[in-house]
Amino acid sequence: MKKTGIVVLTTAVMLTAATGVHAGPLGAALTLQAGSLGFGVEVVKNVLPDLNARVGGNFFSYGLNQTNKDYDVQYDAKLRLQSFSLLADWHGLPGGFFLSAGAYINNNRIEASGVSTVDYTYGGSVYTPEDLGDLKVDVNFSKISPYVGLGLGNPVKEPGRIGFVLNVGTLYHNAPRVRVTATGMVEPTAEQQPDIENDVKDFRFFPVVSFGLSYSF
Amino acid sequence: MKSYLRKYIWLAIPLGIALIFFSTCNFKNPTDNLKLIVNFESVKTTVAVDFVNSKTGATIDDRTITLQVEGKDRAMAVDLTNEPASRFSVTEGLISFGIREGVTPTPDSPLELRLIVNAAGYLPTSLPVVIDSTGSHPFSVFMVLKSDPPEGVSTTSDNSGQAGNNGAVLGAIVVSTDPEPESGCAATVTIPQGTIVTDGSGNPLQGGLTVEVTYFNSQTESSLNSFPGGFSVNVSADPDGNPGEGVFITAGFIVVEITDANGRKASSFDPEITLTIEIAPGTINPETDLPVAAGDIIPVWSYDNATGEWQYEGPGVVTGPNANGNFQISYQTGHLSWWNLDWWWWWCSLGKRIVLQGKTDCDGCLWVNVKAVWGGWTSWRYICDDFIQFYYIVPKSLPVEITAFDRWGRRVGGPLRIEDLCDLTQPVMNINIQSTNTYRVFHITGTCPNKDRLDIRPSLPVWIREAGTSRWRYLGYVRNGVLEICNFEVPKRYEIKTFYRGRYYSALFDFYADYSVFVSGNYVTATASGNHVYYNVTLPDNLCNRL
Repeated sequence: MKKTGIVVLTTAVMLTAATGVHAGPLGAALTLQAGSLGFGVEVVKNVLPDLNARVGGNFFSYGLNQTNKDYDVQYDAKLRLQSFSLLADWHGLPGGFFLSAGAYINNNRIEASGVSTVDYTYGGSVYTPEDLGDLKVDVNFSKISPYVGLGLGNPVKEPGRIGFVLNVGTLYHNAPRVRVTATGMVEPTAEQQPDIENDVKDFRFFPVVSFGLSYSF
Repeated sequence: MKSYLRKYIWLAIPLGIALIFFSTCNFKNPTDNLKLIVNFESVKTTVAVDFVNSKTGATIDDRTITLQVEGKDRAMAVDLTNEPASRFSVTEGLISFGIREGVTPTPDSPLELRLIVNAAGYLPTSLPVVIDSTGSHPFSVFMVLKSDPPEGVSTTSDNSGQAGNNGAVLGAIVVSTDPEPESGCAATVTIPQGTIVTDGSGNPLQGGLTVEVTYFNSQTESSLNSFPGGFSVNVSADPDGNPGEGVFITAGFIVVEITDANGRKASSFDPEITLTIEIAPGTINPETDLPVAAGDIIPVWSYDNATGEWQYEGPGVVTGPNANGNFQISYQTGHLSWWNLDWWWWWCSLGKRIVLQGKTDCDGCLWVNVKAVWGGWTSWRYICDDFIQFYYIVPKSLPVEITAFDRWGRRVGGPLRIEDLCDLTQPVMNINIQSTNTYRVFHITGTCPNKDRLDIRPSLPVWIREAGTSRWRYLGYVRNGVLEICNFEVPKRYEIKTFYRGRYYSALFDFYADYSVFVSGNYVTATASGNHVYYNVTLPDNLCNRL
């Protein structure tokens, strides 16, 4: 990840130097970015002096398959990042920094499931994985999530058409909504849904860090 | 001043964002406390049966009892792990089996089973069972110990008879029971000299013959409770020759068993033998509403021990009074069976609803006895609602008395006389339970020391008895680790027994006032929250190691 960041940064600097042209006449820019919300694309438009508007989307998906040998359980976990931004950037700060505020349509989701990989014997009875059933946990967040953050770089006012943008901020997605479902013999495990919700109720903010390359037009 | 403030505002904003940002990195792993909770409930509908000595009222736990599930829906019977099973070997007088998972009995679509029960030294018997809902359904089977029968039952054994090599009886055999003390009535078997006796395979009985005769009085409660097959019956042939369902009102019943020295059991006779059954004084002919008199006709029925079904044999004509002053029916037959004098009675499928006034949720389930005022018919029901709904095979226009009992057999309501159970009015029975108001929901969780993220929720039948008593009573079925109990008195010492996969587990439990328990040398703490009581039980290593 660190290596990728250096490559992106270096490429941005080189492209900026190589093009040597000024920002586009429309006062707008297209940004490709990568960060904690996934990979994204944004359109930036200068709407007032020192004020840009941003709209975009971020996407990422990651799956994990793992077997816990202590319990002979196979876990499948899937992280799905999907969000759409509508933000305003105020570029009145010194040093190229800007302040961002706005909201995301937050479709981020975490899904996990577990199923036994072996038969269990209890009291002389053999229970197959089908008898034991499976367990699923689904975590999602507030659909509309406010965002505040700081940024560096102004895609529509870079000296050249290619620019570099950094965003650091936080998304308020409220207490995560947890849904636990289970089938078969492990069905009572789902009773712990309130406990899990309680454990994660303080996880109301999602850290946002992104690096992007912009092209103004 | 303005510039000064502005400078620090700019400083505060990124600092705030940074604080929030980094705080998000410090959140608790939501799976830290997540446990795998396993419910071992395999079937949602269960049948619990306890076998009781009719005379002593004790659970029969000194010999093996064989339970065979028959009846229209016998294919639905499974063991408690949902595996098909219809034959059970019962060693401690208690058994529980299930109804196949996925089958949902309802009052409109009940399951009909017949439990065929055999035990050495006891008369074979059977019990019709109707399952009309999911959940647990307890039944008691009252059995007659031949060597020590209950009131209303008289037995005798005679081994003076002899048969030749061809099965021919060498001298006439006449065996009578002693007069049954309650009624002064007896039953007699007469086998003429020269009668050829053969077993079910056609083999002749040879040598010494042992003749056992048992007489059941139709008027005594313990006798009626032991009546094989109950009184709501399936018959393979009714008086019109058709199979069907109906109600028996009995005037008497005998069991005859004849065996030879080789253990062969008599089945057929040529020529026919004579059975004489005396009718208890005071027996009312329900067709005339008058005491039984000479010339009355009472149908004679024989019993198929394998299927638990009765078959109409013919009309029995009442004669007498005889030398003992009793009326009697003599009947000639060529085959051996159990023989029964029964009026084949009218019935309805939906009967009366009786409101149990004063019964609260905390009173739990009640045992309700319904018996004909004139004798000859009785029935037991296990009622958990605040009403008794009669349905399925309900005797019509038969005056009955209804009495309710609590878990321990104490009378808590009635007797209430009802003239016709098929009349759809809704009378009220007052229930008066010395309620200790101790409705509790017990939550039982088993844990293993070496698997701290695994909880076991047991699903088991539970029987209970007060320490030092001889009759196990059904307490309930622990489902998914939960057992609801009413009127559970503490502090008190109980014996508790359960059954799983053919093995019984029992122990003395000393319950304290806070529901904590001392059992098998261990003190198990109870955590109470309102009506809920939580137990965390450490499972033995041998069980944990197999998980």
